Amino acid sequence: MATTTGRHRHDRLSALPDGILVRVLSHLGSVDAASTAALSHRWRHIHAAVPVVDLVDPESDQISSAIVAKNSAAPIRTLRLVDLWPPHDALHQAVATATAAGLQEFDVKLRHGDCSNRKLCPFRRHPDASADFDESMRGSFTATPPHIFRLKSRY
Amino acid sequence: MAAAAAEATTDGGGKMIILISADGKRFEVTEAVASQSQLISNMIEDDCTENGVRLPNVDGDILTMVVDYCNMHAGDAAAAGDTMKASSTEEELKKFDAELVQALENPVLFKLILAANFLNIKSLLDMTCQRVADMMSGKTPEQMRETFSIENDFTPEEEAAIRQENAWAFDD
Repeated sequence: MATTTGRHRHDRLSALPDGILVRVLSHLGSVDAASTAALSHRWRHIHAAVPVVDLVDPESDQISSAIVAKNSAAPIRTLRLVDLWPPHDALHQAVATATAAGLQEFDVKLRHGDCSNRKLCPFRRHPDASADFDESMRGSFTATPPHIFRLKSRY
Repeated sequence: MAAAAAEATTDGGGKMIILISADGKRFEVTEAVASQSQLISNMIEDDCTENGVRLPNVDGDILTMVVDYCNMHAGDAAAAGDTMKASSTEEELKKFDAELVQALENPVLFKLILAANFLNIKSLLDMTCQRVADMMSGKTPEQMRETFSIENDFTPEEEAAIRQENAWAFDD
């Protein structure tokens, strides 16, 4: 027993049932959650059952990758997205996901650095939706105000 | 078997029920406190709590923590019935929760998660799962293995393939 330095603790985390591990990963960002696939066989497919997509400043393909990585039997219930300088179709991508996936919670925060001629916020009529200027820019009437879009809803 | 007065009531009203841990420890709590557990709430509805509720997979020391938690949070759940203690303020609750969850070390944390899952106490389950998630957040798989003593049972080829498959989540 005198081998390595007492590295004999029990892996109690991996011993938890699948449902609890999925719940734990639901509290993580999608990148951290997906990286658990590389931990061990036990963890290989756990992340695919997590009903949450949660990304901060995703690279261009990360939104779709995070969605595709899901087990098709596990619907996505929550989409959280924070993006500082998103491509203009990021919102469309997010909305398409939301409608296709039967989301229960949709929390998208996009901050556009440049002006768009299009009306960017499709949620104008939703009571919880807001489209506003970035706080620091509020009232300063610059030509290129960043926008923040946010919608949070629960059914 | 002490003849636990099944119909005992507290000054403030509310029926008492007895919870019995795996190691035989008994806890007397009000129905309002106990029914934060969906499992026990269902039992109360089905009227099968008179002889005490045996919880064969929850140890006494864990049940102590669960009962403390439920006592503290009884105010949120139960309609503003006068429990004996003035219901805790939101700030006290936050502080209590933060201290409880911060103090949890690995083996106890996981036992508490299992108990919250079994008893079906959603807020406690969320809080404890959040704590584990916080311990994983921002870590590489190597660091996560280190933190939780997870054994890597992949061959190097298998692991490389998985990283490839989930390349968007690995910035290497």
